[in-house]
Formats: sequence, C-alpha cells, structure tokens
Amino acid sequence: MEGSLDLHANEDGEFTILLPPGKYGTRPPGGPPVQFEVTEQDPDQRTIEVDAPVIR
Amino acid sequence: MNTVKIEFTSQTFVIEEALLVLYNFPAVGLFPSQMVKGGTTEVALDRPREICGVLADSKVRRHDGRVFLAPIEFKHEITPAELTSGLAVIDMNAYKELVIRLHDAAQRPLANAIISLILNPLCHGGKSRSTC
Repeated sequence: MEGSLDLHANEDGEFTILLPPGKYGTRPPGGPPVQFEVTEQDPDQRTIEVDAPVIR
Repeated sequence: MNTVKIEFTSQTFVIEEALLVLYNFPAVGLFPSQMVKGGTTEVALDRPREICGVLADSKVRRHDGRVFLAPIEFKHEITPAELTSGLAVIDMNAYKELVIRLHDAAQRPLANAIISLILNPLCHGGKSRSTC
C-alpha cells in the first residue's frame, strides 16, 4: 500500500468515502492499524467500526 | 494542448459538485485543482497520460435521492483516442460507499478526530494528503 489521506471525522465520529475495490487501511489515533478490503461483491454501502483508544 | 472533457459516471450516484485535485500534474509546488459540476469537468492535456487525483468535498447524490459528502480517489489512463475525441469517461460503478465509524475504548464516538486512510496503489507517491 502506498499513499494516505488524512480525513476528519464529523461530530458523530464518522466519515464517508467512496473507494474502488482494493486493499486499504486506517491508522486511528492511539490505536493499531486496521486493514480492510473493498470488493466488487460488497454492498453499495458498508460501515466499518474502528477502535481508537486515545492516548492522553 | 487538447481539452478533454472528463465525465465521472456511475449507475448509482451522481457527483453534483466536487473539487478535482490532480496529483501527477506538474505545477509549481501546488497540485492543480478545479471544479467538477454535474459529474463533468475539462482538463488540458498535451499527450495521452495517466491522470490521478481526488475529488475532494464531493457532493454525491444517490439515485434514491440521498445526498452526502465524501472524497473520492481515482486514476484513469487518458488514451490517444480519448485525447483525440476530447472525451474521457471514468467509470465509477465499482466504487463503494464506506462509512468509517471511530469510537474510543468505552465505545463513545470519537468526534472530530483525524484519521489516516492508507491507500492501495491507486495513486503513486506515498505522500500524505489532506482532504475535507
């Protein structure tokens, strides 16, 4: 994987993105990287839950 | 220079408005950007080449009427035929809408957090880019 986008969650802790099939990951604040894959068989909309234990 | 109309098309949504930012165009220290309206825009190209970028602040309307904002990454190879015809269609039918929900250890929503989305080789460069 290469490249990254910094995204801002809304007040509900969510953000939305449109992605083509492929492998992706997130790096939540204070949490381990989370990898996920988008496939052609996926429904048009999916929700991914990501734990982000904030380090204070 | 040829002017090529770029159409972003999908059977399930329309990009009503977006800011097109191209990553791989030479510009003096800046990524060039321009508006997309009704899923179309125009770019000036001197030769067939790959275009690669993000539709930032995209206002997307699903065909069921729902509207949402989301960045969209893309890449497309502009062929000699597209350059000559002045029209390139970028098929977005395979794109999926992902809602990523962040929560802390107590399962509370993590409001206004910033998260990095690590991309596959959709675009080159390995750079960190900010949208939204």
